[in-house]
Amino acid sequence: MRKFKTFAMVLVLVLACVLVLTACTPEDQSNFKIVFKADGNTIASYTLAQVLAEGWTEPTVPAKDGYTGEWAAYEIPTDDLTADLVINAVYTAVEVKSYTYRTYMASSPDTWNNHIWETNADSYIFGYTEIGWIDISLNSTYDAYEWKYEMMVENGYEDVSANYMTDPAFAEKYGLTAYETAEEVPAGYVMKVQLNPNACWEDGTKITTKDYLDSMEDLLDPAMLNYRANSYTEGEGEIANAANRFNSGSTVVEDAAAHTDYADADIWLDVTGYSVFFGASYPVSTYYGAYTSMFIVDGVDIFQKYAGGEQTVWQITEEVIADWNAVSANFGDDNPLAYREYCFCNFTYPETPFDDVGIFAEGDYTLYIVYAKPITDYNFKIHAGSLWLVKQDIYDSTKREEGGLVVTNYGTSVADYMSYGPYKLVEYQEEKIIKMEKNEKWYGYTDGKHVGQFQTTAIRTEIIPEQKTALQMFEIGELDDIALTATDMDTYRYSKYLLKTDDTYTYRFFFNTDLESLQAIETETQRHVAIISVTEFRKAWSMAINRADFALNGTAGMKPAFSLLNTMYYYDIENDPESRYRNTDVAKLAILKLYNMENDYGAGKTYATLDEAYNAVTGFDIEQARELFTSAYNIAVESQIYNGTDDINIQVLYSKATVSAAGYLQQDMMQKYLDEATVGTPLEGKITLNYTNHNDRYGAVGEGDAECGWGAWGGAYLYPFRMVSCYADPDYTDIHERSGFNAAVETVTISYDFNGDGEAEDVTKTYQIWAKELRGTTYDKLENPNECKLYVLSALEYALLDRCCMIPVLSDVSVSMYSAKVKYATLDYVALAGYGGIRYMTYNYDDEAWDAFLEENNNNLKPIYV
Amino acid sequence: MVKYVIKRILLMLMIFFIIMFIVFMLIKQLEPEYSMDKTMADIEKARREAMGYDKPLLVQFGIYVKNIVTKWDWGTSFKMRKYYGVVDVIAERLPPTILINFYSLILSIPLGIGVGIYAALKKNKWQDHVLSTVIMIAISVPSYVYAFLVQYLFGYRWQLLPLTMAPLSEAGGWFSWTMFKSMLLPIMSLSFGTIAGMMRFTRAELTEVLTSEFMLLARTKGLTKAQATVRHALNNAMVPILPSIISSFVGIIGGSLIIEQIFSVPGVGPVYIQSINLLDYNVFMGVSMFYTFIGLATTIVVDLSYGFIDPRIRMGAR
Repeated sequence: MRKFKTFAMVLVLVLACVLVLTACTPEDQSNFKIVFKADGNTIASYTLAQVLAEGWTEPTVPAKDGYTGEWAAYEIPTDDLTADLVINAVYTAVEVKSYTYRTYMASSPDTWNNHIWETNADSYIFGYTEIGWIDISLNSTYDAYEWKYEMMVENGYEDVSANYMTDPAFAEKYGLTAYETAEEVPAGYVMKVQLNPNACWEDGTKITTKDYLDSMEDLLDPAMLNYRANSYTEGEGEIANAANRFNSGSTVVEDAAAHTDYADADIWLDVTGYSVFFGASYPVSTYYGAYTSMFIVDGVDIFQKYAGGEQTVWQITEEVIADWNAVSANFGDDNPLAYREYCFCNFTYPETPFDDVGIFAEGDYTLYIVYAKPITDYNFKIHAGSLWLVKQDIYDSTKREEGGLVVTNYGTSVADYMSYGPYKLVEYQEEKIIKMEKNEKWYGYTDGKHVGQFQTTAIRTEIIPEQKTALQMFEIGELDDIALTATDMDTYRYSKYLLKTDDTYTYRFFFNTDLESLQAIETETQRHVAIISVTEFRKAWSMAINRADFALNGTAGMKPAFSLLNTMYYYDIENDPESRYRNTDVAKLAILKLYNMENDYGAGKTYATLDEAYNAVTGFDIEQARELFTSAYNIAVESQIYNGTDDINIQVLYSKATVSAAGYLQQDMMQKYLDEATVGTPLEGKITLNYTNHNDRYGAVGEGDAECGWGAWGGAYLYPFRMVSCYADPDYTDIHERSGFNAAVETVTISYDFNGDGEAEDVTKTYQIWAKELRGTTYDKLENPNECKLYVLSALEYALLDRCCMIPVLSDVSVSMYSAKVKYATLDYVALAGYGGIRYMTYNYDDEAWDAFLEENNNNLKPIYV
Repeated sequence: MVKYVIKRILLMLMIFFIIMFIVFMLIKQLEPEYSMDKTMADIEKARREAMGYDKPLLVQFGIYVKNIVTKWDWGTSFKMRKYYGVVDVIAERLPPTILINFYSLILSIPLGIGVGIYAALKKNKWQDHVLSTVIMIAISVPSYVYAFLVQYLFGYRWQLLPLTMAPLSEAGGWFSWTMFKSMLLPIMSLSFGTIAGMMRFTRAELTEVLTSEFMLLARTKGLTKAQATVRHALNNAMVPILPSIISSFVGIIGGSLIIEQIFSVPGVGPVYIQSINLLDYNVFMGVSMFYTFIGLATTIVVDLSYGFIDPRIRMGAR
């Protein structure tokens, strides 16, 4: 019994201990949990053991538009959980700040369809709403340009020419010649592009290779004749067969000389018009008139034989060949095929399906481009800066036929357009307003590569044709930028908000120097202008211009110009960001030579260094101008092209639009310079300038219908070697000074070691041939091609200026101000990247703060900006 | 009367057609300034060829007239507003022009006539001299000078009114208060000249009527000066004034190039100039013929209005 009692007590004791222990032991952890909740929804739940385990991380608070979120403060018990531990997300409304950039333009774009845009205004909208494969912008230190990979993946292009160009079938398909081995294939024929898979249209639709192919097919559609097809049908970025596709089936009359594969039976002689032999600048009759004896062969007047009767188009026969080769020989050309340079042919572009155009895809995101000729890495990147994408369904739905042309309304309203860049178009009212907002579907806002960029949330562009209105709006804080005029500079010349940006354009007077046509003008208008044909007269005019004064008081901030190409031209920016043509010694020497200062520098001379001498050039020498005017007068009187007493009233064709107030100011200033420079000369008080508008000033002066024009050439700032062709190669552009200056006939002798034997040799070629060689690859085989090209370019520039059929006066500088609201990344202009643009623009005030700032300043910021 | 109206309308159509022919032939003489880039120039030439611009002018004119008559198709804008119909281009730009000019007339006609009556009644007194001097200044100074002045004072200096016309979306519609407020400066600029002209015209007419013999008769019959003026003088003076008011109303769609430019009004005024500068032939033709029609129609309406204003004037009577 005692044993039983003892056993019972032990049992009770054990049970009690078990009960006590059970009561005292922490609750089983699987029953209570740590729960994370957001807006009542369970996001995650964990046991205490899980949470205490090594490597546990807190769950992320679910994102909520317009809020930032975090978990409420909590503490994890280290020993037990007596109940569920619920941790709620705490959301705080985000203060959304808006940064609106308010700008203006003078007139609405006519379209923003990237296939047909024509003017700067046209390219305005897609400058924000579209972006290229590779964009060019500032580097991280804002002092140089940098390639930014956008619509292609990082470093997403590869030269795969060697893989394809050894395949004869491939090459034949694209009209190219295959290479025997991969080693022979030059780089840059076939490029493989890996598209950015995150790129999409503003409606969220992914942009795939199909978009690129369809858009290119539209761009090259022969029925649409899109202006911007030329980006891919010619030049460095010419895509194989693109030109054939674009011109499919069309027949054009071309010079037979360009089609050496055409048989004589397929070409015809016609000497009533222009001919390649004479540079295609003048009709053959002009040369016949000037050099009649050259056309006489064995006593027969060959020109009259073929152009004198009713029949003017002739089939090629042995007789024709013999006659025209003989004429060519009289001009010093013994080429047996010279007769073809007087002939034409009908060239019909082959019907080319789009499939044969050098662009094809592999899957959704890999695109191949086959170029008509190898493209350099640099040029590929430059070309990758703009794309040809259009939203296919919108483009097609707005297509229709208009008078034999297929047209589309794509890019003329918000509904007829779709963005794929950082901003999207949200409002457009013709001639009133353009509004763009952040395109929230743009990959750049979430890919982590654009942090700190594109702070601007909206762009509001008002169309304000009147600059004075815009200036007032700027001064009361309604605009964030303003272009200034010459008169505004009186107020804002020293403003810290002033932004002066050099441009490539050189303003110049250009002349008709052909005596015959000048005399025709005299007869027709009773104005004496034939004296313009005297070189001394034009040189005197040039020396009479006080360019520094003219730039300062006649413009809003332009610079004096003495040359055709200003400091904005870079000849090798790919390898040297500071490779400005104008800063080279040869370019400076050309200008010194022009003003007879080439021997004025060096030890013991007026100027110690070349730079010092160059910087001293003013182009203004009133005494020399007077001497030259006197000399011009004597020459003109002696040669009986001027009677010596009549007034000389020169009409300067100024622009297409009515001459502005600024134009009249410049006219008056120029008149003053001429008046001063003729004091004491026989021409004193006799020269009058009259600026007038003209619909086609370049054509009128070029064709000899007018005596003088005022205008600017510029652009192509990365291609100075090409740019000079605008002045020297009539095949490249119609030369404005062509009346009296035939660049295809007149020659320039350049002394340089072209053959690399260490000795300079004199080489004489026409202006046109020098220009063509600078554009082409003639000098690429030399040890230092750029050195040679720079030399030739400077020699050509000097020769052109020395002829004085044009007088450079001003170098364009756009002067503007920016508001106190915005901040550019840099105020030092960076080639190719500018000031960083909208990408790097930041704000001193958001919209709300700006309103407050304006109120503080009584809505008048003029005192701040002055 | 009906016969007369029909005759006038037929005559108007004939003149309209002749003007159309002349304008068409003249504008087509202008060749565009082709791009310096030869490829771009070639594309432009090919486009012009595709659009039929290389066909003989008479053929082009025939096609133009045929499209208008058969399809009411006035052509397409190939430059200004790429590939929009000419009618749409003009219609898009008409509302602001009409509104501003309408508001301006509503303001200036009563004011001009009222001041004119007052000046006539105070003829050769100091009030008349003061008003005449002010009006002479108002007539002599071009409207754009007022435009810059009111813009500077009300918009910039005192900031009572916006410097430019509001965009449609921001104003909330053509007839919103915001839109009206933003139109006040151009309205004021346009009104000065009209007020002055109307005042001068009214004063001159009324002065002449007031010195007529029938006015003396009216007074001798025992009418007071006020009665005679209201019942007889004003009635007679209105015969030349009312037609000028009508023509002003019809002319409001003409727009004002300079005023619209200064206040950034997206109106029809600059379309004419832009179409010439860009050689957008169809738009130029469309706008020219639109104005021609307005001008011719105004003449008919004004002529007919004489008969309604003064029943003694009978149209077409032998």
